[in-house]
Amino acid sequence: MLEVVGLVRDYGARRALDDVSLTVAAGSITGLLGANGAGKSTLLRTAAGLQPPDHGSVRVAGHDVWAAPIAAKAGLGYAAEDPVFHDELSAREYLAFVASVRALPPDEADARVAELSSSLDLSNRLDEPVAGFSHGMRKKLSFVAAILHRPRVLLCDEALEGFDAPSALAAKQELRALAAGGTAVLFSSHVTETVERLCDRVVMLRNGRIAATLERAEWGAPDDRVSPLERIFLDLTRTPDPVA
Amino acid sequence: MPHAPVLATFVAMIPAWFVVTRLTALAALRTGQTARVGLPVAARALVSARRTAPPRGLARARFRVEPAWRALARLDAALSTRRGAPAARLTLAWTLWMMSIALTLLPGPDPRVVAFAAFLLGCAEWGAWAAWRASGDPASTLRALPFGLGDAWRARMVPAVVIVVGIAAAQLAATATTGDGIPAAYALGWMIPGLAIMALGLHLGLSLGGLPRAAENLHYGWLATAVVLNPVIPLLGWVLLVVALVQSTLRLRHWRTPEVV
Repeated sequence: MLEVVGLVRDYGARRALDDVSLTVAAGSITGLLGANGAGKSTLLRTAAGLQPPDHGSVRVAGHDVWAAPIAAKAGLGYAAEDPVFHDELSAREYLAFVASVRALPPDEADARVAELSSSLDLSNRLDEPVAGFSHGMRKKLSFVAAILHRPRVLLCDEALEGFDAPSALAAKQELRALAAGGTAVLFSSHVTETVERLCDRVVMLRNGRIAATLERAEWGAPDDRVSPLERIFLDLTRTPDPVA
Repeated sequence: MPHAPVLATFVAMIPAWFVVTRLTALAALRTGQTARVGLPVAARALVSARRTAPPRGLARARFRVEPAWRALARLDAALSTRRGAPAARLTLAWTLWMMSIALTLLPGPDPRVVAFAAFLLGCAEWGAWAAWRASGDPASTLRALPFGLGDAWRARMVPAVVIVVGIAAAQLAATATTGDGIPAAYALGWMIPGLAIMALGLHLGLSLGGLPRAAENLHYGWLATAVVLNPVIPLLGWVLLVVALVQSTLRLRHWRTPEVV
């Protein structure tokens, strides 16, 4: 479970987060909607321990991110909006490092990387230097690293933006599977359609404050179906290319 | 310890290093000039440079069970074998250390003074490497992982101690074979300033996340000031080194509050 209590964060004279409090229960996916500059990324970076709050606290599975960072981060996954890697490393080297730091058993980590990279179409690029990766592939790598250990709390900062359609679909399925397994997911996006389909609850941020909190029942029946356009695109990408 | 010759050699080696790097850059520019005559020199050098090869597969990495600090040390080792600023600094450090061991084999006190200077310069380069590595880790993908300042510090200082002890042991063993052995206390006297210089670079890197060049410049700035001050007032340079180490150690708390914008 993720608990954010009274979070305040200033950038100079500008208040980016103003007394933000929210809870994401285990097994649920909470969407974070807001315009550019509303404070979504600041909230997620603060919750992930990448920048300290001016006031307030963040608890991950009962551990304060700033008072007990190692215990809190052991149960945390964070997929960055604009992930930066050591470009000289291969994707597998980076994932092996993450798995070591997270103390994952090697066989389990290897199998999990194979499974995730296959569903996100990364398999045949795993041993190439990250320097040659596109923005979308870097985001996929960040996403894989964030969910490698099946975290208790997952923070996704516009994590699926830049994914191709089949990978986005696979990632959404993975997010649902994680939530079904008890992970609390906080999913930030400015694409309302993705949030509408994926999330159980939505928190709307405006100028650093929570403007509204909606439960899924308030915006309509669950709709996990693939849209007609998505269906055509998926069919097209799943059939062999006649020109290739 | 004869300070004046040591410092003179120390100071003399710094401009020599700058001259060598600039001559190499000049040679690279000259090579580029023949390719595109109508363009500025720097642009000619760039457009005539060999294109990088298409991405090649790296050796398949193994998944392991190991403590976080060991995983960080392994990451350092992997990154230091690839082209880039850390690799260049580590290569130079090892070159200077090898030179130091070789000089220890020569008889008489003078070569050993130069060996001491080469050893300290190697430690300074290693400190620059540590500043780059400790400061250069991308925060958005690494700082959400469960490791602490102790792991980040240990990952670099354990290899530093192993290296320095190894060099001292090599020097003792080498001089023992020539029948002109140096006392163990003498080697210990080398290790303490060497480790202090290495720790200075590391502490600056750890406290200046995302700013490796600034960390390196501060590291060299402290050392250059110490070198300049030492002949002015004897031992003041060493006092300054201790002050720098204390100040950089106090700065380590900044590691816990990174700013990833």
